[in-house]
Amino acid sequence: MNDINGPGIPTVTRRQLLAMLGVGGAVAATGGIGAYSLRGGAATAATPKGSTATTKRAAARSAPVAGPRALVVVELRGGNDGFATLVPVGDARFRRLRDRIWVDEKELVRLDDRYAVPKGLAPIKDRLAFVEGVGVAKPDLSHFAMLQRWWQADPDGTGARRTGFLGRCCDLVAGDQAIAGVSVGGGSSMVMVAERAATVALPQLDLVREIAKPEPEEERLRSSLGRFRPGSANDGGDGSLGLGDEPDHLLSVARASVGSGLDLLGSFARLGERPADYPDGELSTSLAMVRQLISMDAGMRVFHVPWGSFDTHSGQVGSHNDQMAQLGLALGAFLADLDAHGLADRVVVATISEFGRRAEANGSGTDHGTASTMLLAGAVTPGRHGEAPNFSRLDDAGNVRATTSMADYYATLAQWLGASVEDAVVKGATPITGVMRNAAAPRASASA
Amino acid sequence: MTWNAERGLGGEVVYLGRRGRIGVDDVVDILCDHPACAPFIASKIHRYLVGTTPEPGRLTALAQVFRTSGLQIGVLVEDILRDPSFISARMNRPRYAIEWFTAALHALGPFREGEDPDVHPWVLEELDQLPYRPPNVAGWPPGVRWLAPSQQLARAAYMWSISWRMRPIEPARGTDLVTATMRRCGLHEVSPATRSTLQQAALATAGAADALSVSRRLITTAVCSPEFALA
Repeated sequence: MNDINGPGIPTVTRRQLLAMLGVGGAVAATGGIGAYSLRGGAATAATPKGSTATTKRAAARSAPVAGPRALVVVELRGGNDGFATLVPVGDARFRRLRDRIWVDEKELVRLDDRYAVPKGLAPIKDRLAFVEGVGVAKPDLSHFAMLQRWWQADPDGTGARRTGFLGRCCDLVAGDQAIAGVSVGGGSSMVMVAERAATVALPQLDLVREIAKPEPEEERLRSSLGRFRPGSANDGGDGSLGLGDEPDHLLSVARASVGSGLDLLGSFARLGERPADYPDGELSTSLAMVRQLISMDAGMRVFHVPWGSFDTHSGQVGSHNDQMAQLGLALGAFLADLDAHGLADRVVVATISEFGRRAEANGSGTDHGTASTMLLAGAVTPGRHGEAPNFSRLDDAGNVRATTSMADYYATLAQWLGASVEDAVVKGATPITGVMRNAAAPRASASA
Repeated sequence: MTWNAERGLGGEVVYLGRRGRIGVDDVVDILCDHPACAPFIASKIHRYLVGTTPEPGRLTALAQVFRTSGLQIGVLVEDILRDPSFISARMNRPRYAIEWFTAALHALGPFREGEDPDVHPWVLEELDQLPYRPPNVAGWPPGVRWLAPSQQLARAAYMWSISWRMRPIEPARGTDLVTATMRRCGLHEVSPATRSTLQQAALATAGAADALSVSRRLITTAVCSPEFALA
């Protein structure tokens, strides 16, 4: 399993990172962070929006590009309120339950007489697929418990799995030498832990550009930091302090991480400048980097983008609307970027969240709930999918009952990506028909 | 908190073993009075601060301190921090991003006169620990995630980007540059490997005319050391 540094810290070999850069084995053998060009590769120079050059490039790249499919999972952290994302404005019972935090009509955009979306999603509403009522049969209202279930695709919370859903997808679709999965921003996550495939967590690109420069001072800095790497030529010997097993273990992990961090740094050089057409913000920056990584065609198939703070126990209306606006802008820029690079047919972006919120408001917000609406975009069929939860038939705790299982939702993503549903999710999980625009043929389990 | 009469159970209920017409305040009191409450919270806070779960005897003592104080978190925290076990538990856990950030700024020292004092606290969002914006109400989880390569890389980038405004390190009489750097960073215990790395960094700059460049490189290397990453 790729967590030799401890749970949740995927690692990759130096050779895999250099393969990601498109650099051959001969160069890999020379060692040292400066052994390969820091400005090579198919970097795309930033061009002012609306310029002729941009228009021509966009036109030239609008034709679909053949290539492997890529799944981008945006994790809405904290438990996103699906009912405030796809708002059942036509449901009178729901209206009564949410009376205290009902969103003003001018902050919503109607899809039809029954549903609306926050104004922030309006620019992309016609490109979104909504899957309603996604949850589990026996929900837990704990963040920790449900995060583990979602990260590991463990609907019943058995705790039997050691790998993450996205990590297993990487195992099933990736080649041996490639870095198959990337988590952008937010550090390492259990969802990306794989058995065999290499997955890596990358920080935000904008932050690290400074020390990636091929200037003398930056070269000297990288050289200094490189000496922390275990086994470096200048290693002063024992990296331990003799304070005990745990301190020595942590020192070892920290030392290896500095080395791995430097190895990651080289990969940024090929990405070039950040695309100019993205708005400011963490999610935009992450998605811009995802598109650039996809365009590298270096074997990366699965992307994880954790974002947001959706645990809206209070002050929900303002907080949720703001975040939906950011989501709309970032996703809009991402989809336009995919279009411009001919990638829209082979990329799906899908949200997950550990749970939804209670149907009834608590005052100015909502507490932990159960099922939620998930959003998808890219190579999907826009519109509503699945069955709307029934607000007149709540469970004993006053929460809606899931109408689409987490397993089936994940199965939909896995099968589209080309992974065996049984191996990636659970036996018996069934992809939801009609969501994916170009659904893939089912793959048999490796154990079949 | 307010009582929702429509949803509340109006009659007699049994809650954690106590029977009666139980309202909101009663629920809070029952939870706090429960025998498991004090040790549960004490253990969590001990792990957060020290990095380990307390030994049974120590946990019992902490729980008693906590209960006696009327469940005052400050009293519990003080007891944990003043205990010799806290001092002796050196490098027992990774520094959280905020801890690293404040320690790194302290090591950097005041900026040169006339320089922009902005320390770009937004970087804490990149380091995945923006104050008052935890991923959920449970806060930020402890553990080796704070040592991930992406964290290390982001920290190095931040320090490099901000250090150009620092005052160059000036060793006191009889002290060398590496020792002065380690003192600024509070690195009182470093492995031979880290000391060697810092010495090599200083040697690499020998002859360089720019004291600021030297200081930037040393301070950035020091705050990226494995020892600096641990509490």
